[in-house]
Amino acid sequence: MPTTKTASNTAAPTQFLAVKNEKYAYRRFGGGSQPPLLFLQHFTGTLDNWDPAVTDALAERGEVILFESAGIGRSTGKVPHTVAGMARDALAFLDGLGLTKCDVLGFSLGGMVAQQMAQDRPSIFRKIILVATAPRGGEDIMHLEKPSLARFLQDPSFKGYTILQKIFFDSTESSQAAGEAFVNRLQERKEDREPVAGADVAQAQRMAFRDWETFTGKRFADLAAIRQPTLVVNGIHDEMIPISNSYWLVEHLPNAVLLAYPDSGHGSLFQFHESFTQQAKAFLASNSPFAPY
Amino acid sequence: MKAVSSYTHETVPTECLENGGIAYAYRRFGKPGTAPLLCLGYYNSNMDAWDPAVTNGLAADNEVILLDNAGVGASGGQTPPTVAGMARHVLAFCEALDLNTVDLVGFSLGGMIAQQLALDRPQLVERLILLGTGPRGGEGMTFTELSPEEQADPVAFLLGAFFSPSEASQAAGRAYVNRLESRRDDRDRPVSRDSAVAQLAAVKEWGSIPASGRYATLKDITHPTLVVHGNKDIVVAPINALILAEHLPNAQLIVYSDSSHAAHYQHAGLFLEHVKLFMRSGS
Repeated sequence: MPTTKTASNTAAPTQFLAVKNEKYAYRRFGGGSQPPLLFLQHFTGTLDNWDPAVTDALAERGEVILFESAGIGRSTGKVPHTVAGMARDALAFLDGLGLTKCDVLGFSLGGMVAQQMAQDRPSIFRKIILVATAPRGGEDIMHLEKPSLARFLQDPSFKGYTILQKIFFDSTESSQAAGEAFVNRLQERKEDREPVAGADVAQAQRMAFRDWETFTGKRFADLAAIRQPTLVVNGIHDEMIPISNSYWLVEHLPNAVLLAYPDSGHGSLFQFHESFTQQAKAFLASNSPFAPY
Repeated sequence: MKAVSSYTHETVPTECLENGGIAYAYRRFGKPGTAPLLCLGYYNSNMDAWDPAVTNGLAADNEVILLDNAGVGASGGQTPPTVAGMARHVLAFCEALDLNTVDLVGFSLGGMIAQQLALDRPQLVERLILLGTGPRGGEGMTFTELSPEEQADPVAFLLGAFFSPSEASQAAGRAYVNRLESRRDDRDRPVSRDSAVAQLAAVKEWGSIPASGRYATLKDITHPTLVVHGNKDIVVAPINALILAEHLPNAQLIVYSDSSHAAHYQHAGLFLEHVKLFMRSGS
């Protein structure tokens, strides 16, 4: 098949990589001169939750690698209860692929995993994109029980993608319309789809969030060790992980820029996919030795 | 003016235009055809204080107009003691120049004037670029007069207030100060003491917290807006940029790390790239 057809999260086949005792599901597509871009997914998200409008545009500059962490979708194993455990899985996966350096786009939970990986193995990333996420010791991280989120999550009339549209997007008409377009794009992939995450996945990941909110020593001081050029992105009205967390990231990361989008929530990168992918491409293409990137 | 102007920040002559008995000094250069970027400067500054790296960069894709508002630098008239009064002068200038639409680039005080003008004459403004500025009644916007030491050594003042204490930021600050000297001839006139006093009154009035409806008018500024701020801005606290982004319905926010009031000069190359992306997405 010509690459133009498969260089999309709508069509790219799911592949499997055996590492130690686990088998990880992933998709790898696209091409170009730039380093591969690893995608790390949000709470309960599978490979199918990556918006083709984002992955496909970024696959034009270099390969993209969508990674399914242990215990999610068709990846074997158990979902770790800590971000550190998830980071170990992702590093084992990259080792299995033979990749010693890549770029990363971590969204929400995936952004925490990306930070942990950069801490544990500083050489692994060239550049980092952190979307709608929080530093260790951040606050109000994924408290799904709070009324602003529970009203959608605990309402039986909302299901699956409708919930995603409600909680990833602002309540305005324009943001909800973008949310609808987003969930439609997610459903363009018809075959070779991943099983939806169950309650056990959610429970383990929520434990990881609670742990991520704790910290020892000086709050946010650990961020000084992440020296990679970092682009931090957030919707201005993010109920799931408020933008104050992104602000702390830019405050304490030595080489970061914050980009915030209006009229949007957790899924700002999907709502403004055109602008976001242009910004991300410019960021990833730049070779400036000076901070910030 | 239809042809591409070969003038640069360094060579463009200062022109004068009269309206209502006031001669406004301005410089116009760059690539005409679209709405010009009308640049409104910070407290106590004239046209020479714009960074040539930024103005020349903007001029590659846009027409650029630098303006001395009434009573500032080479312009005639008296500087009004309110932002609203200053916005009226900018409007008078636009009318005199026959500009139907402009993109406003406002730095600090200039960003306050830009917000006011967008409220007063929404159809005149296409896009807003707000640099190191804050909303009316923002957080900690209690400005004080420059100390005698600050007035005596403007370079030390710039390096201290516009750049962070880090080595990288200070080096960027020195480079900026050097760039300001690149225009050799036809320099602007210094800002008078009277004008500075009126400007201080204006920013203080803008910074005072209203009795009710704090930030309420921001929802009426629906223009595509780019808010740019340094995360260590000691002149206008960075929280003000967040407040702008939160309350303006159509604003993108960009915050640069390790930078103060002149974040957009410290990171001039990146800032130009961000402006380019913003101008493209807004059209």
